[in-house]
Amino acid sequence: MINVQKYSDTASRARRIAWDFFAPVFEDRWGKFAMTILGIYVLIGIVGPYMPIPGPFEYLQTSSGQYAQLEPPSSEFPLGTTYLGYGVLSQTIHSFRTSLTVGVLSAVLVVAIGVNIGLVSGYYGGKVDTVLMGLTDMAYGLPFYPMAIILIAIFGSGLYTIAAVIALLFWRSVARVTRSEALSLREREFVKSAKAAGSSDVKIMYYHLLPNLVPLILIYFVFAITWGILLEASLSFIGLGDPDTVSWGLMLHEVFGSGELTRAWWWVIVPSFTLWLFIWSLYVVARTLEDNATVSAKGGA
Amino acid sequence: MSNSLTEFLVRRLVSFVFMLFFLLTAIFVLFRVMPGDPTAMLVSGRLTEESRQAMLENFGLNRPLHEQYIVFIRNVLQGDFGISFFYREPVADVIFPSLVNTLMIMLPALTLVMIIAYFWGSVVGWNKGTALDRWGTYIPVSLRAVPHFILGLGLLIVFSYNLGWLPTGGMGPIGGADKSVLERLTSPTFYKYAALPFTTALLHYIADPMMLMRNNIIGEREKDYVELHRLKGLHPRQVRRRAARNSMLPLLTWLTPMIGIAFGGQILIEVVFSWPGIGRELVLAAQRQDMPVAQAAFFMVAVIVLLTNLVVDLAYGYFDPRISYGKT
Repeated sequence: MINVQKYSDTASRARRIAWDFFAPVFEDRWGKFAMTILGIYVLIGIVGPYMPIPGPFEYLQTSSGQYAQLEPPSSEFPLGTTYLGYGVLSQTIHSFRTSLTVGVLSAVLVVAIGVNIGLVSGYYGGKVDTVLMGLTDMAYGLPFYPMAIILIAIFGSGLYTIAAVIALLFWRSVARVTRSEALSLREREFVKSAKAAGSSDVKIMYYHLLPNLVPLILIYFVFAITWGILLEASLSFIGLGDPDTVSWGLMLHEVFGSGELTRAWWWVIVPSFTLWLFIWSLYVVARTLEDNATVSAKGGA
Repeated sequence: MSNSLTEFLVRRLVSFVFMLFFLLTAIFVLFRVMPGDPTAMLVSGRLTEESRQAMLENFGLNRPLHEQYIVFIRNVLQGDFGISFFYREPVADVIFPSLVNTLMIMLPALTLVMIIAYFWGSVVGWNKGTALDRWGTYIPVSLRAVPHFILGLGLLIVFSYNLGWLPTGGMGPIGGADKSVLERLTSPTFYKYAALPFTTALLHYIADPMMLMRNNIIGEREKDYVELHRLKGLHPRQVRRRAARNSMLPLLTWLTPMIGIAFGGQILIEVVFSWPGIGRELVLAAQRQDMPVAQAAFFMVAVIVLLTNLVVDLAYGYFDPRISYGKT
């Protein structure tokens, strides 16, 4: 899938591999656009809560001292207010951090579990492989959202539970792909020579094989962020998210539940659009990365 | 060959049964690792004393753990999932009708997704690089990036609230819920209610298989036999059809994980349109902490996913004689 020939003798150049692999995203028109959007999202996620805006669960008041319920967007309430009088703008901005946290946290967990299982399984083969891949097949048999809902019902909802649930269910695809790459890599000359030179299995796996998997890990990292964000939004929308943490999914859950779907258009459109744009940008980046992978496999890049 | 086929069938069936028991065990364990005393949780204050006793007896909760496990499995295999805390009815009576409701949307939607993906994917792939290809792929892929509940909310706002063409949710006018499946399927009102959830599922799931079909046929286009057909003077459309038929198999394999994914997505669609399906029942049960219903709903969905996987795998082996059954 991925051209590793170039790097096989300089095994631990993970950073260079990552950069070589990532650079084409910035050459692509849509890739550049998506990366800019993601940059803005990360920025808002970091500085958002420190901006001079009201808290996400702070009741806003009009100049005449009344609670600002369902106020349409105006100079006083940019992006309007919700049924309970919260600011849509403020809630939206605070949600950036929630989404980023869940996304990155679950991606780190997914990749950490998946890559390790795949690497060990592919490298050792035999019984270890049979057991670990049997486990992966089982994870594949589980329907995702139903499983997540059951786990949330049992362990309660919270950002960390959601991230853990995502990791528990999504490591499977990463493990499978890593394994097949490791299987083909371990037959290469540089692994054989490392073995002949007396390198330990652990060293071969993590020092010689792992850097070659960096492109793959990058693709799945971006995908896992997307899954994490989508899952958090979906669970919050159906009312199983963390009720104390504002997120776009929670905002949509509240507008849907309040029955103000048609009147409060600002309350629907803003979180929907922000969520969609985030997911769209991540898809574009992941797709471009995937394209690079296939192109180099054909010997193109 | 036939020997390895038998072996494949046996292995596949054994793994299905194994998976089933794994699921049951997982549910049994999860039921008992819930915070607090599991029996206290099961026999919550919502139940009357008699049903509490009946439940304890039925699930053998006063017996040792390994006996409880056997009783649990025996009950479930007989379709006895206990009594719902919320409805105070046998769980099976709640679960099975809602499962039918879900399948009424999902089966037709997935079938149509596969058919459209097959034809449209082969057309755009065959015309790769043209405007038809660009727009024909751009639109579905962009729709794919819209989370399904947002897509559903959008359709709901436009077609129900603003245009007023379609009902806002549910499966029929209030009071008409106890119709039989056949009665419903033959009444036009049912289709009005089903239209939006069906469309949401269709629009959301169309992109992936379509793109897959497109990529397959792009690869197939360069094969020698396609050139041969062309040289023989076949109409381009006939050539395309032959290439499409040969690019179909990956689409079938892709269906396997798709069933599970679609069941997941269906949950959100059912919540948006208040469709009384099994996914919505699962969400409600989770919110109400109605564990018997939640478990049973989850188990039923999982079994359907496993069964479909089994069928698709067997069909795949049937459609492609080149497959070696020696491998997993």
